[in-house]
Amino acid sequence: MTERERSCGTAVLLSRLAVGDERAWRDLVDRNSGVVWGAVRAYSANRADAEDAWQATWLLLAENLHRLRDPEGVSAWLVTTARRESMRLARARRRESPSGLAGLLAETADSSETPESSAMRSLSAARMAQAFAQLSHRCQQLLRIMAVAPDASYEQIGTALGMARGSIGPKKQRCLRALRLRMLASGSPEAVEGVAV
Amino acid sequence: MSTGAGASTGIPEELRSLGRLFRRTDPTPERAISVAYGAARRLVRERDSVGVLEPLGDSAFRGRAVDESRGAAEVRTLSFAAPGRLVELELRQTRQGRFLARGIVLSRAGQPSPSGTVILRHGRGECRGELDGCGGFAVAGVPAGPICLRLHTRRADGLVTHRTSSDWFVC
Repeated sequence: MTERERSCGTAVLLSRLAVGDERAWRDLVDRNSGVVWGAVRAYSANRADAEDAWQATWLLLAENLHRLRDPEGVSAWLVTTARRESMRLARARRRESPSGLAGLLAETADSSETPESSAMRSLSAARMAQAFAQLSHRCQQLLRIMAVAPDASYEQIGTALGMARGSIGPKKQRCLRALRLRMLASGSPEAVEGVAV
Repeated sequence: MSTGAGASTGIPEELRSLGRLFRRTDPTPERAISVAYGAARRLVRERDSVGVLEPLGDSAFRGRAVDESRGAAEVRTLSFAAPGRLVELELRQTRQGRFLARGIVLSRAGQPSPSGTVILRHGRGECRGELDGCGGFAVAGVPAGPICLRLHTRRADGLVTHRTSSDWFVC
């Protein structure tokens, strides 16, 4: 989706919201949920904190929507608020930096799988998680958002991470290169062909 | 070595793999999406009927706040302003997931607010506390998560004269 299509679509949603169309609000949530969740996860130490920041972000939008007249500003407002609320919460709860994927895998281990499928999946996932966890904090934040919100524009990602738009492409390439190298180093030739995780 | 670019979408394969991994292990929680869906319906109806409690300060932005009289107990302090009123709010964690909210409401001249109610709204409802004669208040059992502070001040005859509300923030 191009920037123009995105903003035109948001303009229509805002006009529907203005006349009380609740479905428009759900569409607005659906359209932005990926990048907002990516932003709060990028700046939160765990899922519980991310969920709190996520809820605060949408509650704040609901109360402030009538002040946002520019459709192009809604997405930027959301990701900026998501980042700010996540950072403020991290300070308030004195959390450490966001955890890598390794910690996340332990946090959300799926006990419903068979031992065999679980082992295969876990092996691939663990290799990728290990490689991801070895990346710089900034690379983890960037790749996390890009992975969970592949339709997000560089503008949105830059706003969510406080980065200049022009630096995102080169940074993304460097981070992906670093991820490939770490996966190769961990003995994962399938890494560069695609990992079945 | 593959360039890692997805053929159909231009998304590098590693990113697609990471995306699958995150969606499997770290999806947006369903209950969080439900809260987001319900946010507009719950809040927009009241936005025009209350004034704004503007945030003036938050110790979470200034670094760590430690109550030395109680050792390592953590206290977060926030201050808000409304027309003619100042509100100082202190949040102290009492047990897992719960907070005690204490504070004081003063006039701009430093005098106690006559009477009123402090309300901490949260995702599942609200907690209330009455202002005492000095403008102080205490509200126990505030759950962790998004909250917003509301202040209703009353005249001597009990009629609510002003309703003000802060933006949502996370405690």
